[in-house]
Amino acid sequence: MRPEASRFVPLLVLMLLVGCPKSGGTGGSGGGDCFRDLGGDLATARKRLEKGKPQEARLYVEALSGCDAAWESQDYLDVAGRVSEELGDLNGSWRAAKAALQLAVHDGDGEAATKWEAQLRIFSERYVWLEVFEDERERPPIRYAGAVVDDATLRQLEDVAQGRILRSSSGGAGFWIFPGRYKVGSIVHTLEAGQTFRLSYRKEGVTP
Amino acid sequence: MNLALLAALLLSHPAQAAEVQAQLRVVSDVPEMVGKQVQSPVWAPSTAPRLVHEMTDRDKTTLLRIVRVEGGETKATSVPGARSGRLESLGAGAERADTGAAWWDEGSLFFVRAVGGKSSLHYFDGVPREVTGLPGRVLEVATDSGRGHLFVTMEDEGGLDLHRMSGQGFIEERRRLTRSQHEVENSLSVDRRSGEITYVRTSQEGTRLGHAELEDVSAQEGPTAPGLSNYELLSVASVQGESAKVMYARVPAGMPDGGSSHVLLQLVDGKVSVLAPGAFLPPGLAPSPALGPEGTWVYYVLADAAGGNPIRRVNRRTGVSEALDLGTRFNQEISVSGYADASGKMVPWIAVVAVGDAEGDDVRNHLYMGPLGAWPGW
Repeated sequence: MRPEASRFVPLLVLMLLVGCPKSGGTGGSGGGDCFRDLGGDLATARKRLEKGKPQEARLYVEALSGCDAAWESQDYLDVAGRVSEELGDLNGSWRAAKAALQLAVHDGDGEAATKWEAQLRIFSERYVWLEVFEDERERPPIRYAGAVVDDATLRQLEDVAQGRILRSSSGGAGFWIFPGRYKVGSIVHTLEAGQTFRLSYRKEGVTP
Repeated sequence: MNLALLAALLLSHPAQAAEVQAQLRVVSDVPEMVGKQVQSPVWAPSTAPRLVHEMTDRDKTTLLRIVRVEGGETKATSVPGARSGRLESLGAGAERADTGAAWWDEGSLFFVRAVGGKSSLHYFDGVPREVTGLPGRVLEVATDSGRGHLFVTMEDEGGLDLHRMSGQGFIEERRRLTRSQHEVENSLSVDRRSGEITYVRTSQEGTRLGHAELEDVSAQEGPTAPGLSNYELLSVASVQGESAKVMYARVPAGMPDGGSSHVLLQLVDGKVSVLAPGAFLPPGLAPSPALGPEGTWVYYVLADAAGGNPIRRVNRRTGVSEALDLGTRFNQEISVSGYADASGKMVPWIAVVAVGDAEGDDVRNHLYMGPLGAWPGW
């Protein structure tokens, strides 16, 4: 199992208990000790997504995360990214899209690489990039300041608090969060889609 | 005829004053609004002019669009159908009806989203966030952000009633202010200075006002006056910090134009008076009366089809009435608020829904907006 998959273990245990999704046969495209049907599970996950049930789709994605073949499949990364995005795990969605882009480049698939670059650009236009200096040990505290908070927002801010840093397309360090009202230090900001906000004591403020 | 009503009508011929001119801009003549009609503009309690309006297409899909004034320019964003952009691109919420926007603060608002028979309360501050845990269908929302209060009319097994919600997630403290099996509460108007809410109660017997003060555990009979019950009340607006209420109402049957035409009424100190006869109201639910920023002027559309439904304002204290020359024709509805310019002077801003674009070759409802006075860069 790859390191990325380790955090899915509790869910895998849960899936075994509830029996969903069912394990596939050995004839699937899973590699190594994976006995799942990659194509079948992805098709099911897609259908669940189309029906607006990302929680159910996640079960299939996470079950496949133990298969080496999944991590070599752009289709898997595509579905994994969509599921993550729809559940509000923006950083997970970004990671999946970046991995898919790297895979396409590695495979010399120019058409796919162009598609993934476009996906990442659209992603950047939809959400807020919270940029940080990696070498800065302390950053201004950020908390949600809108009237209605949801679990996804809290999880995104937990990523920030825990310093689970990502790389942007330009190589900068930071986090993806939903647009919205946030209190940084003592000031409430309205962070808009497509905006980059620098979370730092060195230079606090909005950059274009 | 009721004497109080007659007296009210006799007092309804205000003095005429000079015409007010303003330069409005059409802000709906953009590609994203092709095939869509504008309705229900609501100004934000912000430092710079900002409003939200509904836009409806021929399939009755209704979206919300926010227009901001930055310097002399306008910028617009739409409230998306889903929190996830990918989900929306797959068609999530494509056939929704987002209506009843009520600003919470300068950067966020609540609204009602109806999709596939479900009608739920949402909050928008950059992404739509659903207020979960509500037991019924939400129909209308009003806010008092200073106290952290939301007022909603909600339909559940007990009927359609008014609720006041606050606390964590707005479900921690929820009080059912009305318990009326055979009444409908609508046109919620909050006095943000006192925290009181006033609304219209409609039953088979007629209409009247309902009212709840800040600490009330249930709503009370609203203010009334001799003659008021003759009218069919359609909507109400509270004058902030005062007891006065301004209402749109249908003229009672048996009077000239009774049953079809509308009037603008004022209720203050137990007396009702007609501020403006012959008010025009668009089809559907009546908008709230448009009070100016000082609470003195009330803006309205005069029902005068031959004259293009001109916009007027009436001073509710003196009865002086003025015409507004805004360059729009066949006006449908208006909204007014005040914003301070760089010197701190409060300037009223008006939003007008009117038929036709600037060239007059389009028969859709367009949105015009602008200051009633000087504004740098406008």
